[in-house]
Amino acid sequence: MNSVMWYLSRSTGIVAAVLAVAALVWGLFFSARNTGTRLKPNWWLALHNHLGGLTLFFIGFHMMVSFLDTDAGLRFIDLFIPSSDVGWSIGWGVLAFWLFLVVVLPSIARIRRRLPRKAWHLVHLLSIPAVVLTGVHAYQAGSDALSTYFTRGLALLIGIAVYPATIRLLGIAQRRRATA
Amino acid sequence: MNTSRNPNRRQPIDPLLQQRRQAPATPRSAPLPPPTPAARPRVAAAGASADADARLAALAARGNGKPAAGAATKPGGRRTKPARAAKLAALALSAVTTLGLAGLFAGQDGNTDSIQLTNSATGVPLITIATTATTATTAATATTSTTTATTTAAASAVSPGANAAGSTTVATAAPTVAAAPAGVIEGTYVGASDSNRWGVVQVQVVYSGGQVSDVQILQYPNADNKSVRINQVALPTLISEAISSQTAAVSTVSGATYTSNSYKISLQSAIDAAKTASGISA
Repeated sequence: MNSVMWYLSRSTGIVAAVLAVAALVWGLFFSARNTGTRLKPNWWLALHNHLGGLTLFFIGFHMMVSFLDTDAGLRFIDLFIPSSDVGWSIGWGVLAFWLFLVVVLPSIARIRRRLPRKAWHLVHLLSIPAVVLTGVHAYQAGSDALSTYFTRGLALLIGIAVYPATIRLLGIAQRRRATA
Repeated sequence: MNTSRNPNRRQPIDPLLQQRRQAPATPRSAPLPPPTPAARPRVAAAGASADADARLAALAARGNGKPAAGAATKPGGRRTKPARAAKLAALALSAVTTLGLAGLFAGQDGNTDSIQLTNSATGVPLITIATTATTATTAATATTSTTTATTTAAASAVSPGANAAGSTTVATAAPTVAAAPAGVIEGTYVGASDSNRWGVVQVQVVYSGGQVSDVQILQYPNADNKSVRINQVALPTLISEAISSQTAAVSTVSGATYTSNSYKISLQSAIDAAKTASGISA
């Protein structure tokens, strides 16, 4: 039973990381208005929101199976509070979870309507450190961290995330130059 | 085939064209007058007002949580739920990938022939494990003949299969004759083997120049692939931490708590043995 939990813990962790990067990429393309003409912007936004929610769901699943894998030696409190008992490699993952929660929950329409746009945007930017922390957590705590496939996959994900981030940053710089 | 003289042909209703026909003497270069509001097609205006009415009805019904009768929504609900297919595809793909990866990991667990534990810092192989066998084959590379002899002696002194919970063997010290400048005599010191829930951990410490220059793993929990994989990540971290801190006070590696604790015990005993052999009080 523990082995099954271990396999699931690894696979849900990997899938959650991929979903987090996908949500980030979708969001960056959307905010950079680089969505093309074939699909409507609301299609991109809806999928971005869905990917964010799905990421949080898989993170929750990952936490649950990691807790159920008794070999990992995680207490219930370790899932929510970083501590020196389990080390920072797990702690980065816990921090990433809280950041994702803070990013996703205010994006629910009912809560978002009550928030000022600027505050919501600042909170939403936390998704970038959340994804970075996810990568650090995966590399330090992952059972597959030494696998070549894992390392290559992580590098690929970083590359995929950097491309739209660069487009977005260039767009911001261009707009500032135009207004100045 | 000229159909322009057909009396049944529908006349154009474009007001601009009608005005042009009524005033043919107007020079071509003169700009055309703008259409009067009354001359605009009524069909479009009627359609717009119907659309506005429908929207107002939908807004009024929003408070009740019930859809408005006759509200303008496309069949299939694509307007209210965009990217529905893509969302379903993402969900299905994630679920399938999770199960697929879990299956792949389970398959790998049964098929792996041997796993080599290497020090990530130096790339030196520490232990090679045959996953079907229960014993570990030490492949720690020794730089001197003294180290090799010590390793062999330590490996033979401790039976690999001895997994009695909490058992600890006595540490052995094998210092070389060469004197170290700063306290501890150069040589290799074998720590006590410490048993935990998952297996035995035993390390040996190599001192050179009065400092811990290397920590080699003689035994570690390797009864199953899971233990091997966890320790593949944990042990190199513990080794590099011990070398950098020069003590056994290394932080516990998450997910490898038992190995970390046993590692600390074995390392401390090896350091103690080294100090005792060098005549330094621990």
